[in-house]
Amino acid sequence: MTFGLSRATGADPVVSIVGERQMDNAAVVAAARARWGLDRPLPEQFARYAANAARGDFGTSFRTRRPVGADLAERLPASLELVLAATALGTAAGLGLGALAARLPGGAVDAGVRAFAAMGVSLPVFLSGLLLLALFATALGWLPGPGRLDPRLSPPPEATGLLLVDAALAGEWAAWRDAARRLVLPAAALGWTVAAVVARLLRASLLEQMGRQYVTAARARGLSPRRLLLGHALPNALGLVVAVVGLSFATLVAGAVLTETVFAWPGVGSYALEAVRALDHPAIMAVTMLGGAALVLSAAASDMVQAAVDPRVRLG
Amino acid sequence: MAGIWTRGAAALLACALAAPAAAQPAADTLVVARNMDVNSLDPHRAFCDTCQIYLSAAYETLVTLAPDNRTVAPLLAARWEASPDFARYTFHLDPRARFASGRAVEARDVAWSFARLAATKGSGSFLAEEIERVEAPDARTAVVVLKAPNAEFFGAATAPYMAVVDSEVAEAAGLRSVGEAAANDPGDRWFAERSAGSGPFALARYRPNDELRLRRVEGHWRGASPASAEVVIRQARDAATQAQLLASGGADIAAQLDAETARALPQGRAEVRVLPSPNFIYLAMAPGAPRAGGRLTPQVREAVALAIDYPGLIELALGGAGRPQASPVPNGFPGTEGLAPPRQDAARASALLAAAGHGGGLDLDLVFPAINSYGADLSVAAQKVQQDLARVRVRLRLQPLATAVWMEQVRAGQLPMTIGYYAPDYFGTAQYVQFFGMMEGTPWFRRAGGGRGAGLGQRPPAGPAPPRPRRPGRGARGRVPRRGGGDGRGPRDRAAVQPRPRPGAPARPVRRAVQRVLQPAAGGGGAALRPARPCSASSCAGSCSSRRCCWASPP
Repeated sequence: MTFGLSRATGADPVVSIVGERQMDNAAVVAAARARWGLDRPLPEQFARYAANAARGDFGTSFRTRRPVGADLAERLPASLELVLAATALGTAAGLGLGALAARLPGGAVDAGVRAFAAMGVSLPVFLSGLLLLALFATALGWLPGPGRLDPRLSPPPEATGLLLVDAALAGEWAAWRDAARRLVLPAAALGWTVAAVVARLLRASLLEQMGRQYVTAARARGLSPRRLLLGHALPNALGLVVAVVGLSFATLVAGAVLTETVFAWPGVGSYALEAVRALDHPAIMAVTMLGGAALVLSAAASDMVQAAVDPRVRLG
Repeated sequence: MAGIWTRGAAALLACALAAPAAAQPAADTLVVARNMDVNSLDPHRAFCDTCQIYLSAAYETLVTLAPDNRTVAPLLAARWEASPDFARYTFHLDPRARFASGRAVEARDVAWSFARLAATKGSGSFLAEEIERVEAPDARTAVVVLKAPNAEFFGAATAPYMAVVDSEVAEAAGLRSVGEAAANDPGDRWFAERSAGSGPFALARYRPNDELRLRRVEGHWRGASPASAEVVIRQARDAATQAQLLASGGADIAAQLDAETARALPQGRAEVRVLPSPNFIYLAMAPGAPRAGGRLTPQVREAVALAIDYPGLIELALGGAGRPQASPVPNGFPGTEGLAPPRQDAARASALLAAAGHGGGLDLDLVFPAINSYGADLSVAAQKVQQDLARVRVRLRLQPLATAVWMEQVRAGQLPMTIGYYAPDYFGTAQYVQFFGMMEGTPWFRRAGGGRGAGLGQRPPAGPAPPRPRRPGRGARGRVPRRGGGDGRGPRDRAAVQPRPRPGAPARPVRRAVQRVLQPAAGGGGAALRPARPCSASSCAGSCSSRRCCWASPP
């Protein structure tokens, strides 16, 4: 299906490959078609692609001229590192703020949390990201600017591709510190959107639970409001939050396009953006499949977590 | 002809001043923030602005341009001469020239490289297509024999894609220089891991759209080593990100800032330089496009050109950092001296439209690629043109497109009006004639509808000749020059419209102009040179005061 969709754009990728200066040169265009297999009929292209993909070969990118698998293997760890950090940060902040707002509904704290959530949902990352950069990197100088690692530091030897892990394994703590500090701002910008959704959802869900009979019964037994909220309502409200966090994680792995662009982060999102702009079919298809795989895996993971926190969804 | 107006754009370059002292490790690394756009690091397949910077750092061409950006200067060749008919060019290689592998640069490397540039049929192959063969009477002498005379070949030989590659190392890796074997060799992948040239830098690490790391070659054959041990080009797509990198000390140079972002840089932390650039943006009309419906007559085309407020456009789209340009040949290139820049004359534009029967107004489509190149935003330019044309009751419907889609449509000659961006591949005028000239076989002749009854590029019939569309500005004098007639066809027109005598050879007046500039007189060799020209001619002409801007400091 992705194959069909990416071919249905109506634009010929060979033009992008060859470039404006030579796209009128028939010999050059024909050579490019032959080199990239674009001279074959579509069904044959598809058959070849499917056969190769089944063997784990996702073709060669028109844009980077390297195997798409190698490109993604380089880019996925960067995305994972960012999205893991953003999800952890966002979920923690969202849980705290959501619980706080539910504990003190209607007050100034609640209004503050709702404003924070509204901004997180509505502020596009290219704005919030640039604001964070302008404040913390440029004006205050507390944190470094865009990028995953200071180019003046030599990158640690690659083992997992996750810079924090690789630097720790190699014992290169200067690189580790720089990488960790550089992760803060993009993770905060991206985590803000996660925190916003989690906080709103948790607040609504907690308030709903607090109105339930079991909570009234617990209150009648004399439990403190804090224990009511955290001990009784929270576990029941958590199921939905886990599902939403899982979903957002999957979407962000290949979809944190704006964050990756603003923070010059070499992840899958910015790779996808370049691929789409250049009609790089092999790359577009691989990223789409990666996004699908992330969604399936993440849904399965969040189901397992949900089962752990909520006995009602356990099978059998 | 497609009424084409053009104007010069200037490259904005911002360099970080003394970076924040605290967060600054060893400053032996120079970091350049750019939107990389690299398609390949194979010198014979690469074609992009960053590729030119990289190729000029890791490889060397036979000759290069002196810092004035117009005089041919020695690089691998210490001396050179051309035959009187400009069909044979002899280059005497510098006996000291060595590849990074330590082997001497020989004539067979030149032959191998030029042959491979043509045989790979990559985006830059047109530069070598005019070469018949390269003879090597001895290891130090390369004689380039052209298929047709071309007085601009010295200019073409300065193009970074004409890089000379270590053929021994490359052949051993399975790369080929002729035929199908070359077209299908694994050069893209091989050159992504390493460089094989004689330049002052070598490739250290390449991550597509992430970073390109160059390491200084110690003991480079020319003696003078670059000041920076390492140069890193790092990906930063937007001007805003580039500015952040610069302001936070994460980059020393931001190469593609627009005027507004540059002005917003924190005072005292960065220095902004506006450098002359031969790149330009242009508006083109294709009278033969089906959607033009035959309405883009010469009068209408002239009226469009006259309706545009050029200073306002330059102010809006380029923050004032641009100059109007009279023809598709950039200001300062051979043949452009004394041309009258385009000028606005709305009254005359209205009169022309009324005379053409469009007094009540006219609706047209302006389709353009939604790109921002070196801070020149084509969307902003299109909106300004729309406003200006509305004043003479030409209503434009703007349609921005993804570049890939735009290229497809413009190639097919479907776009009645468009805006484009163009950068030279080398110092010389023929490339513009071959691309924009209204004569059989050029891309713009086809795109504009030449040969499809649009009355383009043909000799007019005897008798009253049809009015010729003109570049903007000349109409201000109120007389329509006639093509093929004696009047109105001053010598200043010729650079862009004169048909060329043979494929590959530029038009004769152009050739004469080029001869003046590129005559071997300039090239006696011996002059002290910068070790390299790593910043492309268009991006960096000097050095910023407190940090190195061009990393090759003069010896």
